[in-house]
Amino acid sequence: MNAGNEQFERDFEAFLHEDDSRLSALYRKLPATEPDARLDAAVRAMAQRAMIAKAPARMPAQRRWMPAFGIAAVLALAAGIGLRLAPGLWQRSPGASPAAPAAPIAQGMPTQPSEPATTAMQEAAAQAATEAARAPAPEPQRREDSTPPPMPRALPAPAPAVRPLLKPEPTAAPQAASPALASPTLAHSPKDKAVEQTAGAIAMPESRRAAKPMSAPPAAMEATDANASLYPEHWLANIRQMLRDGKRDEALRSLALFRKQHPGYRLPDDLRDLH
Amino acid sequence: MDAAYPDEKLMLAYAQGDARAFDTLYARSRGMLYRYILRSVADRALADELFQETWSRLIAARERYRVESKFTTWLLQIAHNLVVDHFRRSRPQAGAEETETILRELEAPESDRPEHALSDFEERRRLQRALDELPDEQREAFVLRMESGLGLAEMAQLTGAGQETVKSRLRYAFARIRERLAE
Repeated sequence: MNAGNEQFERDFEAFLHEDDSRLSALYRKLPATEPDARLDAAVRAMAQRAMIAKAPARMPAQRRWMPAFGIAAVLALAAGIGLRLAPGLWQRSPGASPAAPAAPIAQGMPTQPSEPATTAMQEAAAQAATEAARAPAPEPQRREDSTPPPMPRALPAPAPAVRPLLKPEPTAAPQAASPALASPTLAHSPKDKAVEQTAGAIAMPESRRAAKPMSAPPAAMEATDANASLYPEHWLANIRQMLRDGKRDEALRSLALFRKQHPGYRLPDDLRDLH
Repeated sequence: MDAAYPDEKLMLAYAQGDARAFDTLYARSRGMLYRYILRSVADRALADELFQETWSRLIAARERYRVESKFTTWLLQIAHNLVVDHFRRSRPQAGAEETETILRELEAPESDRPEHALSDFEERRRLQRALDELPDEQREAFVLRMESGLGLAEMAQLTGAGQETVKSRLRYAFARIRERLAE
């Protein structure tokens, strides 16, 4: 390595360590070119725009939850429509135990053609039930999902729970409901049912009780006892109501029919020994 | 904004929405960055474009900024990537063989001789010409060194090249400039 190269290496090392003041000083003498004002303004405006554009992204917490609320609302609406259109999904099966949650929806009550209609309200209700019964295709078993149009809920307020709660027909026995006697098919909410169960008694409509012939023979009574289509616990509640109303014979006949239809049902203490 | 406030804190403040922090940061860095780009690409219009694009990318990436290296290094790294992209698109790079030839032909600088004194104007003109004639990578390395004052390790990190590679580029640039100044 010659002297020139050695000098070069020394100068280069000095340059690397910023000791080459000569070259650095010379470089500093070059025109200190800077961006012009237009370019400065463009960059600053770009930074400002970015800040403004960022602001909506930092939306408040409640706005971030809006999509979740929307989804929840849609799900709730869909569930409501589903309950409305397919109540059978929520109704208990005939073989379900009494402890199982009761269905919130009631069916139209089959009644005997010979029963007379007693009130105008019943007639209106029966008319609606008839409309419900006019399904496009006759079905041996009453379908739960053939929800009738809304019924007048103008039952007398003082009457404690006069709406009969019905269970699904266990057998496929098509029964033409008389327009004049068919009970209205009433939507029965779980809340209503809970109130009725708490009260401990589900009363028959006054008109129904009045219309029932007290002297009907047992065979005829068996055929005409509307309680047969009720859930067992509701049937028993009606039997207790009969006893309280002094209709012991009717209660005994109904209880006998109950025992016949529900041989495996464990009767409560107050009715077990009643004969 | 406090002049003693570090660049890194200013950048973090801007990322969190402080527009004044950006103004301060921009005022500090604009000249250095612009000269680095302009002297690297030697074209004013192109320098304007790359300068603006550099800040645009910095603004877009402001929330990803982490104080793991100096702000200047980060800023210059963005600019370096743009400059290199431009070099790759525009023209082929000078090969190592060419710069090796230059180094071999290097003689003792005439500027060491007392009688060879150039005016400041002439020296600046020659320096500018020498910079313009440097291969892109060498020119960029030299300007980066002059403008930012970064060390070899930081320059290697910034450019993504090895430290020895950066040193080699600087060596060739240094040799060519001295040669031009000594003519």
